[in-house]
Amino acid sequence: MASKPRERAKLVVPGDELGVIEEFFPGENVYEKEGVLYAQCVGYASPNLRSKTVSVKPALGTPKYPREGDIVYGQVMDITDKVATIRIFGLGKKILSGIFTGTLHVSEVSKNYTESVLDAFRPGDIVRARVINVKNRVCQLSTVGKELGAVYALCTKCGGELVLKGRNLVCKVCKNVERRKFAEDYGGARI
Amino acid sequence: MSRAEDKKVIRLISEDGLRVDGRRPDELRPIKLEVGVLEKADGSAYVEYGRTKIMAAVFGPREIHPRHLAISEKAVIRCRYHMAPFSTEQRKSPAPSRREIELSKVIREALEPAVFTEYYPRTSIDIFIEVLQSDGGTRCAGITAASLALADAGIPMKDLVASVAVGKVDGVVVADLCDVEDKYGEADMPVALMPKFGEITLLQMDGNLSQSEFEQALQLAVESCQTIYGKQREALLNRFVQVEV
Repeated sequence: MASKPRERAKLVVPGDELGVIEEFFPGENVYEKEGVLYAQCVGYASPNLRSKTVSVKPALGTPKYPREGDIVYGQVMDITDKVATIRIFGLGKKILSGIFTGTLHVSEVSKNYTESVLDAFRPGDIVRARVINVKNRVCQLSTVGKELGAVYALCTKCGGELVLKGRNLVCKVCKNVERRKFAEDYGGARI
Repeated sequence: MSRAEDKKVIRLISEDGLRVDGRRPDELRPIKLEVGVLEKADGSAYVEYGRTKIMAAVFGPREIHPRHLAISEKAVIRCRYHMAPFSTEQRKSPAPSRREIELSKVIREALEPAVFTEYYPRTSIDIFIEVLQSDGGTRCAGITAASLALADAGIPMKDLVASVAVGKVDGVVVADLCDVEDKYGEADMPVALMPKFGEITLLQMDGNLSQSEFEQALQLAVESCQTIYGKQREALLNRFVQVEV
């Protein structure tokens, strides 16, 4: 469960003193109050004498939420020509405890010109995307890049699973060919 | 009133100075703390103060719904204190009562100063406190449990929060009141404390205390919270002891 503590690493809980500001800079999960450094979370405190910082390595996991640059998994909920709304449920390899909402603008769908988001995605698709901005009310996403795009989609005509055949997505059941911006490992994503 | 008194003479402090459950005035009930008891929650804790049994769960930081509640510079902490229908002598309606709504608010405000909410803007941290069995001091046990659950969820905190009720029964200042003492005693004063800094985050009082009694009670509360804080640390660190040894 817990990783093996490094030498000199001490198990701490929030509020434990780690030193004073004259000794160290506050590193990760460390805060300073009135010149004293304290731990912010349960973990292993390790002072780094070279960089003069003390940081705490969390031992009980850290809160997961999308940050700029993260790769996320989500389901396409609602689509207009210009923008798709995506329910983000996975972050990297982990499933989030709640959902976050993201938007994908038509200009961020792919490297090439896309007329409408509907040419690239359909409601219900599971997509892999990169978070490009979290400063607004919702995360802004991008699927520009080979590794990004739909990883699982269903046929809009019959609901059958779409499979990759050459460069196209084809319905397993009705052989309908669909247009998608899909990731290079379409169908092979595992969360 | 007088008839009830005739029927049952309640002696909260015996002749040798012990309380109804045999404790000394400054003695706490046996306390049991357990961290990480629930699988689905991001953080959880189970707390027993004698016969008071509390389960606390924390979710988040996660997207807040309804969205208009979001604050652009920090996370919103939401708290639900709830008593299970089977937690009391008479079945309690599971609907949130006036008392539960108020306690949810004071518990939230007791925990808020300890959490770095500014790290997670536009999200919510949801705390659920469920009273499984109630024997006095549920709000205090709830705060102790919720603070452990927050730490278990890995949410950055300034300090843990420890909480205990003190009060006066039969003219004696006592710590950690049980249900009988709470009901028939003269005063009840729940206190929550951030033990590292000695900052009080909750202070309520029901009943009457003179100024000197209040000071004595507060001193006792602070000492008791420090004791509980020691057990909280132990409970958090115990999760690793088994792995290391």
